[in-house]
Amino acid sequence: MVGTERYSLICVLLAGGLALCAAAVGMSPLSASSPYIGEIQQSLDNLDSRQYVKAEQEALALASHPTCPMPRAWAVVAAARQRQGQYASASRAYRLFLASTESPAMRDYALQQIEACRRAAEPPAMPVAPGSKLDRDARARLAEVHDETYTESTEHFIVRARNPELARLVAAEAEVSLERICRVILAGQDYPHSVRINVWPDHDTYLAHAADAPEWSGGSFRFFVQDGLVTRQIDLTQRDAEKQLAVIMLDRVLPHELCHLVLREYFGDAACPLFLNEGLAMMAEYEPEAARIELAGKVVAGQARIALAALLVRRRYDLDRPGVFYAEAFSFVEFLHGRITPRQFKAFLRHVKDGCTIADALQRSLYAPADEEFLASLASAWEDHALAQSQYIRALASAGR
Amino acid sequence: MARRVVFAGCLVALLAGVCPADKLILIDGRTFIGTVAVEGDTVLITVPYGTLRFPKTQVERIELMDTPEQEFRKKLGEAALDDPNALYGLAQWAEKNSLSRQAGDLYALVLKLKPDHAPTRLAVGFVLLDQRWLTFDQALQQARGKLEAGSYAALLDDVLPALGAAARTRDQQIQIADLTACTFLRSRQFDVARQKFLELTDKAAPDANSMRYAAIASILEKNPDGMYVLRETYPPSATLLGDASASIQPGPASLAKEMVLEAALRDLAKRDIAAGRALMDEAQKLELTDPDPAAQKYAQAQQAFDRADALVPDIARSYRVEIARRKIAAIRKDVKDDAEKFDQQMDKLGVRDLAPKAFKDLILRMIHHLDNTRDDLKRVLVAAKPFPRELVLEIKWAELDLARVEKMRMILVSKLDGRD
Repeated sequence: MVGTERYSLICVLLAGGLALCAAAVGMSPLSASSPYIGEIQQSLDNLDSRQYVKAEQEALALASHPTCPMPRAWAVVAAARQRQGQYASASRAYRLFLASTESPAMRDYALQQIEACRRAAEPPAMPVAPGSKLDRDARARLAEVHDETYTESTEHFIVRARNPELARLVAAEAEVSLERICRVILAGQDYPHSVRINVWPDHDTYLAHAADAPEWSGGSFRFFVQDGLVTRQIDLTQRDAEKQLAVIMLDRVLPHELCHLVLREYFGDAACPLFLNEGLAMMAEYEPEAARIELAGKVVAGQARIALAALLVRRRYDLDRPGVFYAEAFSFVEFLHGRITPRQFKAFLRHVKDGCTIADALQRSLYAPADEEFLASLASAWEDHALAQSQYIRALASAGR
Repeated sequence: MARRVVFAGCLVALLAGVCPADKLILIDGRTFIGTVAVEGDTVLITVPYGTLRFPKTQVERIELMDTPEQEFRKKLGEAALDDPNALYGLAQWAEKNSLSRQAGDLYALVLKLKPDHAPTRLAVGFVLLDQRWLTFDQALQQARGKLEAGSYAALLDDVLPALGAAARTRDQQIQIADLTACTFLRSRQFDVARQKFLELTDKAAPDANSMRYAAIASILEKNPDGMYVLRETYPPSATLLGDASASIQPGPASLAKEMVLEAALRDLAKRDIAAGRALMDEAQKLELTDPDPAAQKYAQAQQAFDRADALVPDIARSYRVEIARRKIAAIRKDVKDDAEKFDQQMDKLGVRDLAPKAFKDLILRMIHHLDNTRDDLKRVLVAAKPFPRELVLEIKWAELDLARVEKMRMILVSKLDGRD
């Protein structure tokens, strides 16, 4: 009985406290279960209509209210600051929001936004092609071919070359490329393997040693299992026909073949569509080739294009127009990569690996409802993008002239 | 003159089907109304649902009386046919006495006499909106327009109560309740909206709509201030397909906005898809060794995808297609096994000299394998039927095989009949 009375008293006190709190913010006690509805909704309206300063002020007043603070309002404060480009103070507000929420989804959201603010405040430096960092002397030294073969090892690579400085450079650049491929292009893949890289002095030696390499190629990769032993190997060419250092080997061939190797490992026995394999490998190269972008724009506007539906299922042996195929593959993959988030891109790769069509894999990774017209809409959006990119390249070229 | 002809036609219709009636009262107090006949020691009474027979000893008495139809006929004879109010009164009486056809005819008659007769308009389900009489569907459409236009006060004070009064069927009542809940939500009365959606959950049949209402109620319960934090841009394909201008950025937004609620529902659907996918993975591992538990896992996965699709229509379709594909692959394995067994029997036909009985047995076994194959192929068609676009090859393949099986079966049966 005494216990019941005590319980009743506590209830009365709690109800009174709630009513007082509601009265303090000028609300009826009826809505005390979720106070400040009008105020928070007002700040959301301002956020939506890009009145960021107002939204921030209103939400800040709620979040730091002296008697009944509303911690959820930090999310509005943070978003308003982020959209105003005030990344440091937005990060602080996100941290306060993070501290106030126990929901895993909200915590994940807050952490993502903190990371987004960090990236926006300090945009990552554009990768610089290794060839552009080499002066004439360095190129001359790296073009030298010694009698002895030198070996250089790093975390993931064992490089063999007839030039010790080149072996070191290739090993270092391979690590840089691998990091970029796994973290940026493939949105966070692991690659806990070791790869053998052979740098052959010239094209003939390369062809003599790189099994199954096409005659026109300057580099190739091999992945095979023999007697339970997996071999991962990349073969490259040190010098061009003029006996100069083949800078293209560092800037393009090495990252391109490395990307193929990582994709081969990732897809395993599943088939990686050719456009995706080549598109990603071209993306791994330093500095996209302007001619490729221009060609993609030209062909999508004309009759010579490969329609998206056909591009997605092209195989190596039915490439009647390889130039157009490579240009479109690069353009489409670069478009996809730029338009969806890294998480979505990672999920997209997984769905492709699981055997989904490209349209299904994309809709699954976006959690978008199935739409019969999706591929047509995608083709239209990509063609617009390809045209715009091509026009941009042409405008840059005209300005350069 | 023409008006008289119309009324005469209506009267003939009103009086059609009226028949006399008697009242049979039994000793035990039970009473029946119908047409009485006597056959020896048995009393028969024909009622709307059949003929009942009672021994004379059980009958207390038989009374001749007017049926509602007869009474209606008398009242109609006495009514002033050019007085809309009198006809309306009679229609109300008819409706009360389960004479709905006659009541309907009378209401139609009243509206011919006086098209804006308000009680009759209301009685036949019309709704008065903005000084115009609208059918229920027209009024509902107009109410939805008002919701889009943000006329929440008008909706809550006038339109929805009028529509509620006019709603006759359960479906109409649910449509009104749905609209009411949405209006409270859009007008930012989140707690009332939550209660309304919760009520709808109970009111609606346990289907996709009911799941959706329950999900909305749970979203509002978790976000009583009406603020929802979007973790991704919505609609999800807006950025990819270049329609970002009409999208909502990640961040906090009001649940009063339709797209924000859709995004919140999609977040819930994502959880169900993740659960369904996990079950599919488990099923795949079991498929080869334990087909029954695998089938159970697939059924559970389907349920998770049902929930996801209830929240966002067709969001889980590709997973459903994948389950159907896997089912078809498993059935195809059975088909292959039966085909191999059939081929083995077929080989025996060619090389062995068989006695007539052994030959007949062999043919019967072959027919048995073909029947199994036919049943399996029909299962393939059933599994693929909901996805004709995605599983077009599987369907075509099964149809061709089915035709071949039928042909082969006919040949074998003809061998049994000795026709060949």
